[in-house]
Amino acid sequence: MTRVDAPPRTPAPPVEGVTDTGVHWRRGDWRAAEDPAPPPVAAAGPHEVRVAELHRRRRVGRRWVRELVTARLGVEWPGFATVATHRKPVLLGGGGIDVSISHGAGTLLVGVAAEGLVGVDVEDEPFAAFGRRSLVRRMCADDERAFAATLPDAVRRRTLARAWTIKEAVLKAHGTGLARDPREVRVGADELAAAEGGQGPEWTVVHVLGEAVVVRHP
Amino acid sequence: MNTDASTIEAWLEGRVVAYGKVDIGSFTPETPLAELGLDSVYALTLCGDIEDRFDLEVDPTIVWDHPTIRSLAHGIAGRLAAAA
Repeated sequence: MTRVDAPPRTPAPPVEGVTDTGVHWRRGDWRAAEDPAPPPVAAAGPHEVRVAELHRRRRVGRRWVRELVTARLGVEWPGFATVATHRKPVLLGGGGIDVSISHGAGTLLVGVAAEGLVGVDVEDEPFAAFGRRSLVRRMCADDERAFAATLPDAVRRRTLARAWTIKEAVLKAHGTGLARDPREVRVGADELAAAEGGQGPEWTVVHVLGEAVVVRHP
Repeated sequence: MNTDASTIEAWLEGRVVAYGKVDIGSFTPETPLAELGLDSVYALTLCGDIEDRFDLEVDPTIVWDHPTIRSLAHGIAGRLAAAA
């Protein structure tokens, strides 16, 4: 039997903002978000608990998108279109609104914009995955790997986590995901260096406006 | 190296546990990888690990085409056999 009681948690309200190019975003702990669905019963096994968590995370993400679209863009909710698994969420109608949803271990990040393409990505500490060479080799171009190799371990993992959120957000904005090699999305040394000294999750909002790719860590 | 599907399946189970998202014994080879926390970061990590282990380069979209450990093991075994 799997214990499903949630650990004690101080719910922190999600934070919201808007980038200088008009991407409205919301970030917070999806487990602390209100959800009308009942939690899994105490006798639930690990499969049921995992599925319930995935569904809850999905519901919260979609609700946040809906709230941003209606409250911040002032648009009547058009609803989500049905898309294949692993595809970028799409809204019904031809309103031109683009949306993106990302989750880390506990952090949820959503972004919406009335024009252009939006991609968001968040990674939670301690960024353990970014200590794996097999990942770094597949995500970084040679110069990015060379720069990261000069950094102390903890700084390197955060720097690589930031690089990943940029790459992933760009790929998500364009709707390709990992069908495109992330090594093709280049991250400059100044952007990598800026991650040092950061705290909390690493997260990126990308707004593609024509040929321009605007990267923000608001 | 033994590259039959059952051996690859056992190795994949070990990788999933090593990634720290699920406990050993809490899943089966038929559990969807998405349910096991295999997000894009770990899909790419797994590709790198497959490359290191089997000298086989695969795209991360392989986990979309083979969404369970069992299916993925057969997919890898098939590619290894084709490359032999």
